[in-house]
Amino acid sequence: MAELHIIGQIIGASGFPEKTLFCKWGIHTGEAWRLLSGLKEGQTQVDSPQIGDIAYWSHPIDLHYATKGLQGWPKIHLEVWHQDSFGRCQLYGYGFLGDDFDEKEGGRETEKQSEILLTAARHLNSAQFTCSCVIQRIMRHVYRAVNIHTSI
Amino acid sequence: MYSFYSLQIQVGKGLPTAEEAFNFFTLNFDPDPPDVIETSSRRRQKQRKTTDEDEEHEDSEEAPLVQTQEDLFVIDQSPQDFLEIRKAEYVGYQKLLQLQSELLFTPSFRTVPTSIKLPENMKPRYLEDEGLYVGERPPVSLTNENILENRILKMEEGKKWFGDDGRIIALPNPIKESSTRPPLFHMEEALDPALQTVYRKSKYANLYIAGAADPEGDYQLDVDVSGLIFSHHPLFSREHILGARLAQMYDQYLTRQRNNLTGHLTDKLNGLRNALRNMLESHSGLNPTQALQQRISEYNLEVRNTRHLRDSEQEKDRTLLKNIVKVWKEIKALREFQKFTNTPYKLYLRRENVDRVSDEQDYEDEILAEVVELEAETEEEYQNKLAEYKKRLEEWKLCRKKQAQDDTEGEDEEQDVSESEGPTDEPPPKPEPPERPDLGSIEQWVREKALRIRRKPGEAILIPELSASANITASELCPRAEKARREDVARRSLFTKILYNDKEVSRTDSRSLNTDFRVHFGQIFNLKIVNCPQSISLQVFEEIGSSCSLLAQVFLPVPEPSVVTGSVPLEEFEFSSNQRVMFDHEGVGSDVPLSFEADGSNKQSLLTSGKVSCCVSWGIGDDDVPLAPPISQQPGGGHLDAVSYIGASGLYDMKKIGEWAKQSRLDPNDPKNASIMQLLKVASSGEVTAPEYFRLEHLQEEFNFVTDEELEKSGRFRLLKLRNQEVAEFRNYKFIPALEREVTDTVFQEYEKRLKEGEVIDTKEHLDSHRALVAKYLQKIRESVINRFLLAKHHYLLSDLVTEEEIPTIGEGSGINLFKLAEPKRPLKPQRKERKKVTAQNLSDGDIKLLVNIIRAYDIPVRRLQSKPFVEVSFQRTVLQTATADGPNPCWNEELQLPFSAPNGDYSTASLQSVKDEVFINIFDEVVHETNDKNRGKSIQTHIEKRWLGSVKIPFSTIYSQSKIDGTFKVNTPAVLLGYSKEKSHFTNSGFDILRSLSEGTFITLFITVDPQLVPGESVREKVSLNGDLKKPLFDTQEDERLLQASERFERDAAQRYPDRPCITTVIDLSGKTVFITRYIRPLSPPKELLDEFPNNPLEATPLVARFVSLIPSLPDQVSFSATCDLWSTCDQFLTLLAGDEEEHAVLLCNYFLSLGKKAWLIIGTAIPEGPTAYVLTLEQNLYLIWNPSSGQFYGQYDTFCPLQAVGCLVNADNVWFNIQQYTSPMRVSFDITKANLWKPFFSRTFSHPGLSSVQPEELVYRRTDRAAAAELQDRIERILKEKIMEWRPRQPTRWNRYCTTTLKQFLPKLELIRGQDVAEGHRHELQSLLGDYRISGFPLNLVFSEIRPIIEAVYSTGIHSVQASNVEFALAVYVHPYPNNVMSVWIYLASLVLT
Repeated sequence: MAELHIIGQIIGASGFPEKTLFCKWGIHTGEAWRLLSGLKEGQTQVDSPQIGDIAYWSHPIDLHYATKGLQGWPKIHLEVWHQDSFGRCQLYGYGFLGDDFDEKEGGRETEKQSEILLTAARHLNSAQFTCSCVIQRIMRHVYRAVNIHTSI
Repeated sequence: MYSFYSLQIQVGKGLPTAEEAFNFFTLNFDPDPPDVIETSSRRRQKQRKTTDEDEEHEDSEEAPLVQTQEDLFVIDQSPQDFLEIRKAEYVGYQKLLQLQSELLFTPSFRTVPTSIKLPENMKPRYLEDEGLYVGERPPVSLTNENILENRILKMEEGKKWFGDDGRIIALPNPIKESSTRPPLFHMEEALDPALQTVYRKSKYANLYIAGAADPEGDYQLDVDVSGLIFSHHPLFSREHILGARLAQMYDQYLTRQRNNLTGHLTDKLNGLRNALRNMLESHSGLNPTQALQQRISEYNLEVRNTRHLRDSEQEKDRTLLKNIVKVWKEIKALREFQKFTNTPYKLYLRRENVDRVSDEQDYEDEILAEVVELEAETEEEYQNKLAEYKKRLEEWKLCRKKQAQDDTEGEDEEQDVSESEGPTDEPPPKPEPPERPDLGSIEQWVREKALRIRRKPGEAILIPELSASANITASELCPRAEKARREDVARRSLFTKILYNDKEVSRTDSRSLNTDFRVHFGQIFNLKIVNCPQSISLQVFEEIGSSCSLLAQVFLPVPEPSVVTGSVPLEEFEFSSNQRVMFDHEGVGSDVPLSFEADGSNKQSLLTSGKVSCCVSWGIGDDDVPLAPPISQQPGGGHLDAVSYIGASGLYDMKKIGEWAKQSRLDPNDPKNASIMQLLKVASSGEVTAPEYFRLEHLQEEFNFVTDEELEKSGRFRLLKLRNQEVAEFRNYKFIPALEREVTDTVFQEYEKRLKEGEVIDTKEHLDSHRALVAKYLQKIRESVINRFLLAKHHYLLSDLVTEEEIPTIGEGSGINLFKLAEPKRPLKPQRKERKKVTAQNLSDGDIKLLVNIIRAYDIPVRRLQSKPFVEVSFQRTVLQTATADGPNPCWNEELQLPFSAPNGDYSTASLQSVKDEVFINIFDEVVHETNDKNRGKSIQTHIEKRWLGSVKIPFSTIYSQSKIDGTFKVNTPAVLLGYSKEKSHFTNSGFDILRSLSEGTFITLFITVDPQLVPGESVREKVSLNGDLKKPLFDTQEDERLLQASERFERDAAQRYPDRPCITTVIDLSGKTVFITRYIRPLSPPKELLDEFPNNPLEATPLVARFVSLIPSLPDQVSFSATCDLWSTCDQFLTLLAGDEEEHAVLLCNYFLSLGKKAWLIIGTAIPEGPTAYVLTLEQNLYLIWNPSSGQFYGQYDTFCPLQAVGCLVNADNVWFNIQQYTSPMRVSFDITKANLWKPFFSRTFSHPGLSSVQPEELVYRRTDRAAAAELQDRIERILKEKIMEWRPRQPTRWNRYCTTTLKQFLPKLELIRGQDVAEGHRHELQSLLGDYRISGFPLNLVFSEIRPIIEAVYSTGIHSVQASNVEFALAVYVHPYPNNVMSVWIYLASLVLT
């Protein structure tokens, strides 16, 4: 019976066309994993930075998993949304922090800051947007995110 | 190929030659196989010879020896004799194939005919053709498939691998068309231009009807909305309900009449009977043939069935008629009762007289025919049974005979026989002969039935006729409530929106609602469509004034292409809404239980419902061409739309969806239905979560290192989970053991016990079964409220998550600093510094201290000689005391620090709020006795004794929510203090003599705070109001939207202008609904017993009523409902629960005062020590009195010691007034609410009182005082207290003075009678004279009864048990005075006696 603590935070995002951003996140695991405590999905507040380009959320992630097998390591998925001045929300990008999420160094805690490149929302059916002003092209966004400690 | 033998010889000669050595190591020593080819051997032999010869030249000495050896060896060359030489065996390819074909099986690659693959006589079934979804099969080459099939077919049960269509069963192709992992882009490299996506405008490609794009080829859908009729509407009066029922039944009657089933069936029956009779007559003489008999019996059966059918139809007719008449009678009675007519319905009963004689004849004939038939039937049945019986009897006899034979066989065999046959061949029981049916009773039965379901012979036929000719009473003649209803009806109007594919396309005009609740629209809408019709629906809206609300949604079916305008009749579609509507006028509302019975039984709730008549059809073009798209273009042709089938409201009903899925035979394999099937599966299996995805996790099982059971069993994981779920027992666990073995089972024991016991509440703890029930009920409410709050709790505000400290502006920062530098230092005038607030999570045990500063006290009772009072503060079993002071007005000015520890070490806000501990502040008098010990001569022993004088208790929750408590409190002093007297007040010369005397008592000045300062929890309501733009209200409500908005505005304004004045306009009731506060105020009469005590002047009963209210136990909401939220219960709930906080007490007291004819208001204000609270204000003879509802005491407006500190607003049944004066202190406030510049009213001319009905019951029902229960309770308390006192004195014996006890017991009822107010001086003298030899100190305590624990606590805190004198005796008397409704006043008289 192994246990896994995932502690970290979603720091913020930058490089999107707009700066008023928030993030939805979730952690997915295989069948063998049981969540003991903590929330496995959530949403950050909307940050609209006055100075600088980075929207900071500093959103904490704290989960405790138990597992009966080694398959299906947790993956975190992130969606970056933009909220405009009318309160409408649009998906700006999404990404996975997948296999390197469980990267370990001899079972010791490692601290690393990953940058996830988010895929822009081009896979979504354009019909979902009633407003045609959504610019649809691949946007190269740097997602500065997630320093995660994993320990087993 | 040397033999072993030859080698031996060589060894014997000493060292081997190199060649030998070589041979030794390289050659095989096995004896040569016989089949070695001889020739080769010889060749070798020769070779060997030559090599040997070569060697000879090298070492000649050994040569002869070797030579001879060689000869010897050559001579017996034995292996050669056994060798056999043969050709290598070669099998030709063809032959090999032949051989292999015998051994191996090679399946053919020819296609297998389908008939072989299926079971015999089965046609292949193609699911795909039947419209079922069959996934795409994984690609396999045809040859491979054929080979596989052929091979499988050879196997046993090979056919089970094939599906109904004759193909191998296969799962859908699992391989996705595209990769699920999005491609990664690297920052450094520019994106390949080939990968650049191209933007194309989206379109509903598959939804457009082909050909619709060009403007000519359009399709038109005509929606005809004719009108709607309500079968129930909230504005229906009772008469309307009955009227609707009558009309409905009349319709039913008419349909039945039209169909005339009864007539048809009667004719059929007669025809059958005739035919049967004819048949019997024509063959009467002859022997009936087999076929004829068959036919006769068939006819009989038919007759019987028809008769049953006719009877049931007749009965239905009869009951319907009866019901119509019954409802009509009800309507008439209702009209009579209410004295006006609302509905135009009028029922006439037309009588159609019949010829009596012939009618009777028919009736009798019918009965006779039926009796004859029934007799025949019963006879037949009897015969059948008899035959059966005979058969069974025969069998039985046979069996018996056989058994008898068995018995006669040998004795020794008997054992075996009985053993073997015993269980298997039990002789059948002797069959009972059937009873002969009683033919006489048949006729009676038939007659009874006829009487029940048929008209009596000769009675006139009643034909009901419903007409709408009755006169509706004019509105002027109706009572007020009815008038209000009609006005309400007139104000409403209705319109419908037409939604096409969930988009509003048009709407009808708004038509006002008629008095008959029919609305006629009569509008036809021509919809030109380009999208395929998927759903067409109508939304019925009701308009009141400018606001409109959705009543219901009706889904219309999309018509077939053949349905064109003009050819279809209007159809009626039923709709209903489950909205709850309530009125305070005659309208019955919707979803409100109502009863037509006099005793209120048989309640039913009617929902708003009705029918829309409309039709949808395809339009016709100019040239008579239907403007309908061809069938093939309609997507999802056979696909039933769930919404149009069950209606939108049904979507939340699992059962309905399940039914629908069953009826529409939803294809479970179709991915379109996957989600709904999943939902149904989850709903039926009762599981909570099911993943929405499928993950192929192969080898999962194999790689598990533990099983699921082990994972479930783990105590550590369970503990972690429970802590995460915030289960009460585990919520405050800080550390959970890291190792499984350290988790003991005992941890869960309590939790499991609670789960198991559930709601069983120990009556022992509550002493009283009623309180146990109440506790149970409170527990239930608490749970439901907690659930409600869980939602609210997760509603975070930005400030909860993000702390942004404001950057100080430069000007401000530097400016002040400059001033500060210039400021002179004034050490004697220290500046007040704001204490830093500490959030709860940073705390641990021992960090928090309770600081109690005891400053001084006034008017302490004094002993005859002198008194040395000191104060003892006890909190959480820590006891600290001050030094002693002197005199009746001592000054201590001492700070005591008491440690505080939260329950289970949890310092979260929620936990701190629920701390139930109280701070006890007891005033004692120190008495020093000096006794000369006679035996020891000159030594003097000093006993120090403390005597309790009074106490103040302050709950920790108050300190926590107030963060500090500062003020002068009245000390609860016992009514009688033996051995003490009050010093007369010195300042009774002022003008308020009467008031002065009221506030007489002992007072103590205190300052209490918690160090470090804790952040008090925000109440949920506050959070909501902060979050002003929150669209959805947190709590349900039935209040009008406008009223809520106005109240929110009012409260916000008040909070902005006067942030420290409490203002409440809406409160939350026990069911969690927001209710306007004035609804709580309504005159309610107090218990009759209380008023009966003063038959002459009911006003005299005022103090008694106040006392009754104060005797209901207090329970702060924070404690009972964990979250900080004020819940207001109505008076009847309060009296049932027998627990509530100040608001409930105040509301009840205010309502009592109103019923006594006083002018009374509720004061919402702040008081010490309660904090925000509710008091009651009364106006008596131009004097305002302020009543503390929880103590029952009253204060004059100008009383300095009135605990009320600030007045926020006043409430009565009509209005709420907010204090906008300069001051809040009751002394400086004018209570004249008519002055608009002092009191801001909620309802004013601009927003008038909408006539809010009260939430209080019309009358309170009181249970009578149960004296027996009180007496029993009294005994129990006395017994428990005696035990406790003895337990607290483990070292000394505790003696009880019976004589004193009985004396005290007699005195207690008197104290209750005078309500402990004025102490009879005589009592002391009486006691003193009775017990002259004793030195007595003692006092009576008066307590409210809720539980036994607080009583014990109170007794303990007096410290009476701590008397150390050796010859002390005790007296304890308990008296429980019962008030109505189980309210109890408990008196405990405690005394210690020392013999002098």
